[in-house]
Amino acid sequence: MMIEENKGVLITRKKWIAFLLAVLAFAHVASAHVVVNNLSKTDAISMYLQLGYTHILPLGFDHILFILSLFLLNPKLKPVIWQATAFTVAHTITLGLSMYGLISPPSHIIEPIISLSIMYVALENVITDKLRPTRVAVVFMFGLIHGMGFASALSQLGLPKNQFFLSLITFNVGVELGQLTIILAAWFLVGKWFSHKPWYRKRIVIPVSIIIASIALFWTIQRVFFPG
Amino acid sequence: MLKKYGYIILIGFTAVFFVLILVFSKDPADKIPGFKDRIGNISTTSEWLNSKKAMQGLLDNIAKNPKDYKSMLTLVEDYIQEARVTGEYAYYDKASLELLDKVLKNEPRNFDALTLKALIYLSQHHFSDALVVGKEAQAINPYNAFIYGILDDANLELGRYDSAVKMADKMTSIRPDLRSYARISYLREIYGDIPGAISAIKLAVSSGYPGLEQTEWARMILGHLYEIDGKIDSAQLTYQKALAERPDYPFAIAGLGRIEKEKGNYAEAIKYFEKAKDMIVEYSFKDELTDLYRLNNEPSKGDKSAVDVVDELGGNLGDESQSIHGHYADKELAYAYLKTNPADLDKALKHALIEYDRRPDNIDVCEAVAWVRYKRGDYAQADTLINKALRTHSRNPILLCQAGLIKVKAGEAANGVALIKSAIQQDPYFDINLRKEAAPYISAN
Repeated sequence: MMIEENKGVLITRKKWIAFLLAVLAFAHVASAHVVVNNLSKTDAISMYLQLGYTHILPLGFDHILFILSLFLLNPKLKPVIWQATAFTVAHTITLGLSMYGLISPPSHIIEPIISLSIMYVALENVITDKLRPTRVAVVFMFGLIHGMGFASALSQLGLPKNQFFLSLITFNVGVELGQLTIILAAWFLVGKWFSHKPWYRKRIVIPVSIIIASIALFWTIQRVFFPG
Repeated sequence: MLKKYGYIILIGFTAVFFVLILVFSKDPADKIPGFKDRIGNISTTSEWLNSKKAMQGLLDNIAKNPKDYKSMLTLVEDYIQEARVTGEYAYYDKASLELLDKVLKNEPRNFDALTLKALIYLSQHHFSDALVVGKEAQAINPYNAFIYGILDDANLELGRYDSAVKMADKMTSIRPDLRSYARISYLREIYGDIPGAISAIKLAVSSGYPGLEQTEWARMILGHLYEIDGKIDSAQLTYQKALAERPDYPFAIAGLGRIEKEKGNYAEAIKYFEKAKDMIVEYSFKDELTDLYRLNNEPSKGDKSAVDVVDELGGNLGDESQSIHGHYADKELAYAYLKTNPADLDKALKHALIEYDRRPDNIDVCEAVAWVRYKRGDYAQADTLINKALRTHSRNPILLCQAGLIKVKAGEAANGVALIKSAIQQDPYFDINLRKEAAPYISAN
């Protein structure tokens, strides 16, 4: 071709070949982000709300177990919603920091810690029957960790440049709505009917928490030693 | 006891697991090569932020599921594009091949993986390998335009131009787009149809989205075609247009530098090339600077630049070159050794012949060996090879001029002078050093 690197023509063979073929590569980037970048405000709200919600229900089994663990200890709506809100505020902070590129936590560390946090909360249900003030602090701390996990999921899609903040907030609202759905469902199915029964703790809280803790332990080991 | 010591046990238990996580949790992405941060102006574009997020997302997918082959293949596509933008071919080609081998180990008939592997082989100038892998992919899916593009390129680089034309026609019949038009343009150029090549590459440019790298690269080819057609004003406008569409595009900057060189404004040309050189890894910018420093009466800088080019092409790494890009670069090295001070004619010949052994039918390779032979005074051998290089009737002015000089020395003065004149007629502004070398023969006739 006109590849005359030695003679003053800059077009080099490798560039030429890559040029001819790398449109394919671009297509991926374009499909992943140009579309997202062109979202209208309404579309961004709808899309990221849905994304946040589905990240919990039905896709976020580990988050579902975490919320259920919070619920089981004191199955009254008010304290559970307080804990869930602390959790949401916390994960909003780290998710935002991650998406703005201010922190970049390694997912291979974050994912096992998320399962460890589920195990912690579930086991706490076994060793105590009272909701202590420290629980909210612990939940907040774990919320920070879970936010980093959400960031990993969200980064796969990206956030539209023109609606960055709106999309971030909407995603979090979706997550919060997903959590509230779990709490309400658990309250209607269990809390409303059985939380005042004398056997509630013995027959529901402890066995279910042990099951959740076991699953979380399995996940922790799997994520550390057998990833993938 | 549980109530009394429960929290201590729980916290202790959690702390132990936390430590275990930190100690034993291995990042699966460690085995998957990540992307490199860009440097300079190209690191501040929104395109980079988007690409970075996309690549990180894919790496996270793979970290979670090391059998996520779809993400691996998409990552390879991103790496190919990233190599184009940054010039980091050595890193990204190697990384891409590692990923592709993982996929093919588990899915040996994965069409996309085979196609991309053939593409990487092309990028590395391993053309025979590319042809083998490309044919394997074609057998799996004979209705894909992209694979015909790969087969076109492999055949073309191996000098099998008739087969290349068939593959390009097949590709265009399946999918007429930027890629297929660009191939048509290239083949027309090889066969000496410069106006036809310009028409085709204009179609390619208009098929692309302005500002995207591949569209602007197509525009670079348009600029180049204008140059070898002697239309340097059109070429200059084309490079300026590319820069307007894609600010700080290093190849457009270099294009403007080349225009300044053709106009004799060497100091200005040096500024352009030095700027481009600082932006991406691209040996040809240094190669241009070698000539420009010398033309601008800065011989020591020129000599140093010539040595840098040899080093960058891997000239000091072994017998068979693997440039710092990880590519075969023997043809380029052959030319590079002609520019060192003093020229190393033995090494130039050695590398030219290595490349000739790989693809003896390629006209560029024949031209390179012929030119090295000419520089060594082996005019008869040079003449045989340059005839082979001229067989497609290319109108490239440098090829024509070199052929003319060889023929004059080989005793075919009339043919030689005619070729030199046709080179100048084709493009009055081509390489000044070559024109100076040819000038006595023109004035004598």
